[in-house]
Amino acid sequence: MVEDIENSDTPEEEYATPELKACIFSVGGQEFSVDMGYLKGIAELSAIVPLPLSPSYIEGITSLRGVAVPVVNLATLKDIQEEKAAERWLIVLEVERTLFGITVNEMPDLVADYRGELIDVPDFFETYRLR
Amino acid sequence: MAEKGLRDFFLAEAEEHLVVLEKGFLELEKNPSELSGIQELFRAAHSLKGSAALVKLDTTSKVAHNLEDVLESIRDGNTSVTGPVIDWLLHTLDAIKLLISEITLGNPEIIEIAAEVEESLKEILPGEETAKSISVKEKKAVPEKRQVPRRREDIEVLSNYVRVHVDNIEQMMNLVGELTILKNYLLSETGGILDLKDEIDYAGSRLIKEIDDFSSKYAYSIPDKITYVDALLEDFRELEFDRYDELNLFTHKLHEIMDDITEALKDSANFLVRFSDHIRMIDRINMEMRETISRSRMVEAGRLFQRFTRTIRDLAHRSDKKVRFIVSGTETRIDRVIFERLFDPLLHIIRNAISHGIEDPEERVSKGKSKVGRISLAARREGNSVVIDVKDDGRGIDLGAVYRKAVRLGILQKGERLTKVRLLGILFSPGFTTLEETDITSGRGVGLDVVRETIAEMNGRITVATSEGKGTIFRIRLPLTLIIVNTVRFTAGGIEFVVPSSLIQELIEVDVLEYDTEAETVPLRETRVEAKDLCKLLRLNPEGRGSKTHAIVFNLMPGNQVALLVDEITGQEETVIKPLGKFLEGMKYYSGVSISAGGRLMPVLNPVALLEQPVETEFLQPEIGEPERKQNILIVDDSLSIRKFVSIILQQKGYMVYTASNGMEALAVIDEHPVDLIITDLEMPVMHGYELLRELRRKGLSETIPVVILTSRGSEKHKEKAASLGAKEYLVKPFEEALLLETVRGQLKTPQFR
Repeated sequence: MVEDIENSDTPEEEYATPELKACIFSVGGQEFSVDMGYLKGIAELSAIVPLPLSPSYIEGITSLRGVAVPVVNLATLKDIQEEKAAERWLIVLEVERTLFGITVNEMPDLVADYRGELIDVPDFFETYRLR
Repeated sequence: MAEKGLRDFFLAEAEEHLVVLEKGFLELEKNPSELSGIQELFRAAHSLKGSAALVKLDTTSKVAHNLEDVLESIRDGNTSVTGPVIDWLLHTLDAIKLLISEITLGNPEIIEIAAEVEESLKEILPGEETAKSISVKEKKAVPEKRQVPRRREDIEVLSNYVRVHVDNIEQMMNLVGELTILKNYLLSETGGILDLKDEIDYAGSRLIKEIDDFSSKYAYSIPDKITYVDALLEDFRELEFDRYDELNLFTHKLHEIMDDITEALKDSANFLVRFSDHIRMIDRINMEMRETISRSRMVEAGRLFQRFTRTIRDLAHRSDKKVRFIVSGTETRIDRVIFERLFDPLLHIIRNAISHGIEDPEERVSKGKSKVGRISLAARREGNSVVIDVKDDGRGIDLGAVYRKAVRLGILQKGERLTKVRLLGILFSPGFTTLEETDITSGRGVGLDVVRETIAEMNGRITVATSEGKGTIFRIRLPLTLIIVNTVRFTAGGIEFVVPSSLIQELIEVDVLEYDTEAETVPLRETRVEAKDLCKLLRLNPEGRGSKTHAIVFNLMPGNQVALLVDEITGQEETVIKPLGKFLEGMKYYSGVSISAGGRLMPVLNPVALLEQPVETEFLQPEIGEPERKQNILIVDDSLSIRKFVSIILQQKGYMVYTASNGMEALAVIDEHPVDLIITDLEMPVMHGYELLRELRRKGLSETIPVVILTSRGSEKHKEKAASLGAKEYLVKPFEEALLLETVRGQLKTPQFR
């Protein structure tokens, strides 16, 4: 960020309010986006408690300020090969007042437009939640 | 928005009035001449009318007004309480209930009802012109000659009570839950600090002892050899000036430092004592707060029982039986959530009692019983539970029929012998109903299995006792509140789980050799009970099991115990259980998630689902190879810092570490846990390293568990002695981290017999 500002001649006002519409992230080199409207936050992934007998794409639950949040592994779900990473991030989404998270290896980015495969969050929620 | 809020208040208030009215009408039916309660009923109808008009529910208000008029007429002796009048009262009450239930759903009022009720009014109050006069009055919304006195009543009531939304109470309860978690955390931390203080005390006393030993050993030998270089002191003879040599000065200083440490420790110990006193105080206050808050969201059992009065009357009427309904312990308070969820199970049991239990009047008379059957609902509090008994004096459960049906369904083998309790337990099996065809009264395709499941979801239990010809009792035991629950913590495959204590019969220790993996049973006192290995059910690899492991015995079905083998029971605590949320609500093997003192999450196991419902294959994890079992290393040293230091080094490399401060403790650890390698010091109190080596050899463990000596004694004599007793490696302190790891790796590589 610092570099950007130093090297750029762009006047400051153009920096002011970029309309952020999407949260983009990549899983094993494939790009995905989700609508900002469903984004509750991006957190550094802490300990995950596995839930035995759950489908393999559910890595478990993690604690987010005292709330248990289900953790979905998109790589497993989409059958994408991905290397193990030391540091991971959790994209926290909210649908119907329910939180759930998607794990990613690289820090997600907030941008003005969708990129790659757009995940329809409510549809995703309905499809992959366990009932 | 404001009106919406007002409506909520109205709905809450209306419920109370309806309960009063229904109870009153039924009393009136039993005792038509007893009119002492009529004033109360009149007041309820009157308030209902007024409040409904206030929130612009005109139809409800009109119907309530009709009700008020009839009650007024009864009160003033103008109308007598006859069958049709009672029927009209109950019907009109039903009409109001219907109106209110529509409003609750957010629908508009059904305006046609007002006309219907008015029409029906003519049948019981002929010749009067009530109908017309009402419609005229009603135009002016709430008129009232009674307005002034009513207001005064309201003020009196309001001065003592405030209405609070259940959600608010729920939130307060959640906050108390957070406090409970925090308090548990603080308690566990202070325990740790007190231990640490003991360690420092111990280390300090060792230091003092070493210094004293050292100085007394050299005190006599040194002075002679020393030539004093201090020119100033040369003139003194020894006894004239207290001259200190360097050693003396040094030991003196060490003593001083130790005194300082002791003093500081004393202060901090005092602080800790006060601190933990305060935490205990917080604990007490927290508990009281919880009690008070949960009391405020509790409802008297009587209000729940009340709801069955009509049902029983109708059911008995429909099946041509005579039933008297008796309630007791109505003042017992139960959690509102339980209150709501308990209705269906109770209704089911009561329906059964009427249709299967209570006999026809003639049959009863022929058996020498009273013509009128009795069904009673009784509630009482027992410790942290609420017990509800549903009792009937009917024919009892036909055990023979249960047996035959069980055999037919394949639940039992023909000729199989089992206890009465166990046989009754079969009633709760999925899909079991004794009456073949479903009828309107009892059958709905759901059986007692659903009742039991619903109760289990609330962490409760149900049992049944029956006596042929005399009757049946169903006993339901439930926790007082559902948010903060007493739980038992345990591990399986490295994951920590909890299960509500209310579901547990007992915790037992199981000798692994006693577990019959074929028949899946373990011994329990004189008999053997069914036992399932949780790790196997959850597709996990057991961790840390030694020759003995633990099991939790559940009594899920009356008379049918099931033990669940786990790796280790880690504790018991009051904890907050939160639901898993909508994303995971289909995970029926867990009933929620609990948050530990340190903020860790622990899934709450639902043993009912896990032990009774087969694991669906679609939920199965693909096997991703056998994960490596962690290797266990036991560190034996009387120095806390060495134990800590070595532990950290080894844990970082992924080893599982146990510690012991002397040989005796080490042997205890080996008995409890599988140990792959021992790292031990030689000089230790209670039982030193050589003794430990000798004990291991005596137990025949020297060959299976390699021992590495880690000591400050570097002499060959010490080394040889250790080797002769079976030690595999010998490291001298201070040691290199890399060397330690290399030694450990080398020793663990040699194949082990396990």
